[in-house]
Amino acid sequence: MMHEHEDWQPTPEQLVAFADGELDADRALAVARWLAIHPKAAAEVDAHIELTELWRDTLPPDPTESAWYAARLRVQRRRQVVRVRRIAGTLRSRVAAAAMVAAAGILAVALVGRMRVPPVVSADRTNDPYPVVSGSDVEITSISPADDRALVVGMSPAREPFVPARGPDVLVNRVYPDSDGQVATVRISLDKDSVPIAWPVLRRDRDR
Amino acid sequence: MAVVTALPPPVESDDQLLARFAAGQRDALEELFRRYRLLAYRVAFRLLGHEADALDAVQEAFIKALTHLDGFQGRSSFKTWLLRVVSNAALDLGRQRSRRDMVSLDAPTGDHRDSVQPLEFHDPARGLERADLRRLLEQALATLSEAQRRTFVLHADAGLNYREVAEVLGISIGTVMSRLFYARQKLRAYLTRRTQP
Repeated sequence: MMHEHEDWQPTPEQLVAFADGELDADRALAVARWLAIHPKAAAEVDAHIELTELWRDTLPPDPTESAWYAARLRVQRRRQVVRVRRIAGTLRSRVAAAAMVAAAGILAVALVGRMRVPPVVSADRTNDPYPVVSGSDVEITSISPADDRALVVGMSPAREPFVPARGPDVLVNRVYPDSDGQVATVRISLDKDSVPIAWPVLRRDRDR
Repeated sequence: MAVVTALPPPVESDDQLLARFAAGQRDALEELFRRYRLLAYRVAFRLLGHEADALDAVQEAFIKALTHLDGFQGRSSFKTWLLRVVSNAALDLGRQRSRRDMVSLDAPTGDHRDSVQPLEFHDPARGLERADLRRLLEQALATLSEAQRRTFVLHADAGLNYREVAEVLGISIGTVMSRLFYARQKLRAYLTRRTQP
């Protein structure tokens, strides 16, 4: 049992903690006794409790089950993409290492045999901000039908390195919903030095 | 006659689910998502004030939390780790959104100010629809500093105790107490101002 000094009084923070039920039993008892003879402070504590109840009484409405389903599906798809990127990253590293070994071998042959060395293109394009793996870099062992749209497989549409645009370079006139009625929210950073500038996130059209 | 009672299946701990998730079992992710989605959503919604944005923040948080699981293992629970990531994601999204459309919650619009009816603080249900009340509380919340707002929402909406809030934010329990005290003072002052005739 805690024996408080006669002129002891709880701090304002302790009163809030008392209202939240966060004090240990001894301290809570001491505060309760003190409040019994300090009605003004007791009213303050009541107001704190009232605010908490008011807050919990206005919790946001829960999303619908279909909204949760769509959200979980997007988490799974994004997770799938992350895993494929990790696999691709590992494979790219291995390809780069193999290319370096091959280059070293060719160089050795050139030096020994005094032959002319053909130009070697390194597979490690570290300056490329958006590396694209080729079809041979990825082996898909299994994929759920629900996830098949998360992957684009085939030849890259661009042969040149990707050059990211910056905020002021882009003007979005209109964004069309896909077949599921999902609309990409294109967020553009206005900071001209920031890269990347566009981050599309699929979401339901809130205006419908 | 023998009576056979079916026992409910044992509830898997978060650690067991995470281990199964790491082994590639998809249903473990579904269970983790189902277990914490609402808690995460309530935190995100209070910090963002918009359903679709809150769902975006929840998705981002789950993806980040599951991608960087090594960031929490052995130091905290999955719940507190996830709520830390959710609140970070929501605040980031809120900053992006305010830069994007230049609408700030800090300055309630004239429309809202005019449409919200006077609130009897001791009888909040009277004369005020719940949605209006929620909007009023969102406006009050926007008057807090980011640190106070986050602390208050983790306690009031996620139902975390002081120790858990301290764990999520990496601060002392004394700091949690102090932030909650000043947050409540500000909230009550704002609500009193807005509800005085």
